[in-house]
Amino acid sequence: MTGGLLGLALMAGCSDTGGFAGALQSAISPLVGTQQAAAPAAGAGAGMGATTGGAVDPSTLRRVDLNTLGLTGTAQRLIDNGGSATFAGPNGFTYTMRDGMLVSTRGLKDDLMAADARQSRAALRAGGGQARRVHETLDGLDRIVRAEFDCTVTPKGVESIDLGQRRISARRFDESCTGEALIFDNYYWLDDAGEIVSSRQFVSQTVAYLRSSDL
Amino acid sequence: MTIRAMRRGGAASLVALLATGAVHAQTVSDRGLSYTLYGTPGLIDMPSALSAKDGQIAATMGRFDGQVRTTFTFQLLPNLSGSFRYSKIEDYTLPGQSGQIDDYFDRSFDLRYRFNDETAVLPAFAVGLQDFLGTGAYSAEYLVATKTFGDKLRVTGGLGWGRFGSNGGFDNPLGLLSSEFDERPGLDFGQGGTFALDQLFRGDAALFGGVEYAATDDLTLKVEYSSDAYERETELGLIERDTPLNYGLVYRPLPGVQLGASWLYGSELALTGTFLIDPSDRPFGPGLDPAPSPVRIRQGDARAATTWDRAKIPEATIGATLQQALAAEGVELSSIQLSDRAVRLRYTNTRYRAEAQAMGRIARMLSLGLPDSIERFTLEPMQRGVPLSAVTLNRSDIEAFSDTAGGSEALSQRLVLADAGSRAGLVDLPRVEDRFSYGLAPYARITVFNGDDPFQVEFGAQVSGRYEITDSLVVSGTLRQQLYTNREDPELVVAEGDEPYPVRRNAALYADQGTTGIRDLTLAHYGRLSPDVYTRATGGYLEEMYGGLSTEVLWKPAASRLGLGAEVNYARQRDFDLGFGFQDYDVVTGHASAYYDFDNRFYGQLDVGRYLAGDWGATVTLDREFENGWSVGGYFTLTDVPFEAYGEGSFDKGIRVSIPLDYVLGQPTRREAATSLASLQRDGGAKLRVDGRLYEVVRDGHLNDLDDGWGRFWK
Repeated sequence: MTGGLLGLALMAGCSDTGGFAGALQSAISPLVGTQQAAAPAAGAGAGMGATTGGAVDPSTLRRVDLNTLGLTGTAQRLIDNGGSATFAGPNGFTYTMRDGMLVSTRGLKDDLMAADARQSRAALRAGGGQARRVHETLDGLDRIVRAEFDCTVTPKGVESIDLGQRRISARRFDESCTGEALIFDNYYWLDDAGEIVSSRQFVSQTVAYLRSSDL
Repeated sequence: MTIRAMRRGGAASLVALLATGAVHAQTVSDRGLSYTLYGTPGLIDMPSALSAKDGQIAATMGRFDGQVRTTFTFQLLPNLSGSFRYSKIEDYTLPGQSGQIDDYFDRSFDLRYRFNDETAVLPAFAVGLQDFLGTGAYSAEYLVATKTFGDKLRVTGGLGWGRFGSNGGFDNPLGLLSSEFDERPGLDFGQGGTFALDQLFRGDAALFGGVEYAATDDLTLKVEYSSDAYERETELGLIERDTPLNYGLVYRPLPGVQLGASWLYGSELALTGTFLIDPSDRPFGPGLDPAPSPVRIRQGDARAATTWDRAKIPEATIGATLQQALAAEGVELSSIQLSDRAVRLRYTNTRYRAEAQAMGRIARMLSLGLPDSIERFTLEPMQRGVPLSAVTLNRSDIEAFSDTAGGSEALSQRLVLADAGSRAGLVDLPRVEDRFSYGLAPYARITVFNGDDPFQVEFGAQVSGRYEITDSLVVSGTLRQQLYTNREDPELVVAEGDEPYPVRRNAALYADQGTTGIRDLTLAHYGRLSPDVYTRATGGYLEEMYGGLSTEVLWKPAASRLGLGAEVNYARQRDFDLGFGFQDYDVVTGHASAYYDFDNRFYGQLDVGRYLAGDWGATVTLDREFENGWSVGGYFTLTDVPFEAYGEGSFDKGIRVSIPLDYVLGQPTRREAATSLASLQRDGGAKLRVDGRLYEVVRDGHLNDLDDGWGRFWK
């Protein structure tokens, strides 16, 4: 896949009109770039500038960590859809955040296919509270399995956190969720504007948690 | 997941009723289940009333003093299981036959139906027919009840007939209904393989029972009282039967593996090994598929655009770029139709088993790059150059439902599925893939169940090549080199008496003489006469034993459960050396076929027509298919060849299993491994083997297969 996309990006690069090829290129070339750079980025553990030679806008990068799978490194934003954004991490896996809440992963085998975390996000904004969230996964018969969780979002005070390039103080919240067969705890750090700048969110039973932080 | 937009009214059928009536959550039944020497859920030699988990396949090998029983048990429905068994009994002859033969090989088939789920007070009850199709060496019937007490203890008691009524037997209680039940007539098995209806539940009955105790999660201890006297074996001096009590234990070292040992009849040590496969439990779960490209969501008023600037983005650029982008997903884009608001694509998915997954990947690419005004995506998947269906998706829905809980379901309800459109308006794209492809692979052929020589193997290497003159006109061939076989010099089989011409029985001669040869070499053409009528013509060396011309036509609308087809072939028998030559035998063969999708995972097929030996008859096939591509089924063929003339087995029947390779590998692939388990190849009811029959080619893009794979749309 990488080869094909690279070819596409190169071909698209020849076109000076932008337009269609440009759109595809701008969306896909980071994926190609990330996959090329995944190994050094993960190996060096550094983030900035490890991806491509050119200057990379740090707002498009995330520090990502999937402890259970041993995947750590820099993720690069593939696309910004306004309310949501998709990032590509080491080994080519991707994840999508909607307003800072993890709504899907791909390329991790037991992916989070989709999630509805709007109530949890509202609880974070309200400074705490109850929320119901929905996670969807895919089973061995290719059926979407829906799981509902009852969650409690609790404020944990202000903590000083390290975002790689800078250290900021952020409000921490813990979200405890209980479903029929699963219990998990998500952590969030919100900046003064109420944006989620760092989080640890549940993916699925085998993948466990994904940590993602702004840089 | 339901592609509801296209759902037609429910068709009630026997199978449908059976399935829906039987779907009750099984609570305790399949917990701590273990298998008998007969490979069925139960005690040691005696059955219980339990069922395995729905869909589970258990392969059991049981062995004790001179008997080896290899059994496949498939839980066909939650309450119904079927077992196919292949056994070897040393120095055995059937009752009524004299003279000892070295090893006796026997095929047998069982069915068990469980009437109810176990409750707090009520045991589970089941009825079973053992070996009711074969030669009857193991034939027995039983009614049995099983009750579980707490977490540890399970008690089974039953009433057996036939073999299971041979120890401590008493007058058949069914004799109250009719005196016909009192005597079990001797089995006139003829060539075997027929339904011994006049034997069932006849003759003496006897009680059997036993207790299972789960000492730990991994270890179960058992004791049983057997009602099988092993009359024939004792008479032949094969088994010494001192007591009806058997003791055993079962150990589960790993999930899916059971090892058992037991002490039978006070004299024999028996060992069993069972391997369980659950088609719904994929080793790699949802699969190791690489991440797809993201969806781009049009922002603000971009969605309101009604046209786009062709000077800036020429249509030709879109086609060429998309073709390259989709190639990265194993999708070969053949043609495209663009307008201000819509796009239509024809493509061949070469990577993903589920067409729905390829569609999801294509839709993402389209959302990324197409001009904002294009709102409607119509995807027409092709196989072998023929468009199968047309799925139309709204771009707004793709944007709204990606990464959204309930999004897969919502999208499936909003898409429109129809027959593929006409060629008009489509612009062909220059082909980028190579026209020529080839592969080198090992091959293996295992022939079992042949009465005299039950296990024949053949290994070798084969080179296959393929040249696509057009998408739908293809030359392909396979050249084989045999490297090893354990077959002994076969003799030429000639028809004796009223036997049919040996159209298949000389298979061994092909393996013997065709050590280097052409397995197949054909020119095939696929076409579409109207939106829902497909055609195929294949000519050349069609299969190992026959060459000729095969023509087929199939009516199968994309959203219909029913398909109707007809096939007419002229076939001529090939020389045994697998060269270009032919023998004298030729035949016009063909069938009219009906295919029906019962919507409860069962697919039926009925073929009526003329078979290779010129015999007339019909084949009935029923497969249970799982959403993830597994398929387990059976078939039988009855023709005007009399049972005696047919020979061993009386008529052609078999079990077939097909396993999608992505289940095994975890990586996306369209390949699958298919095998027929039970066919003993003879001449009556033999069909010509042709690669790429239409129904299997076409159905991937049709309603039920799309529906089955729909969960993968966003994967």
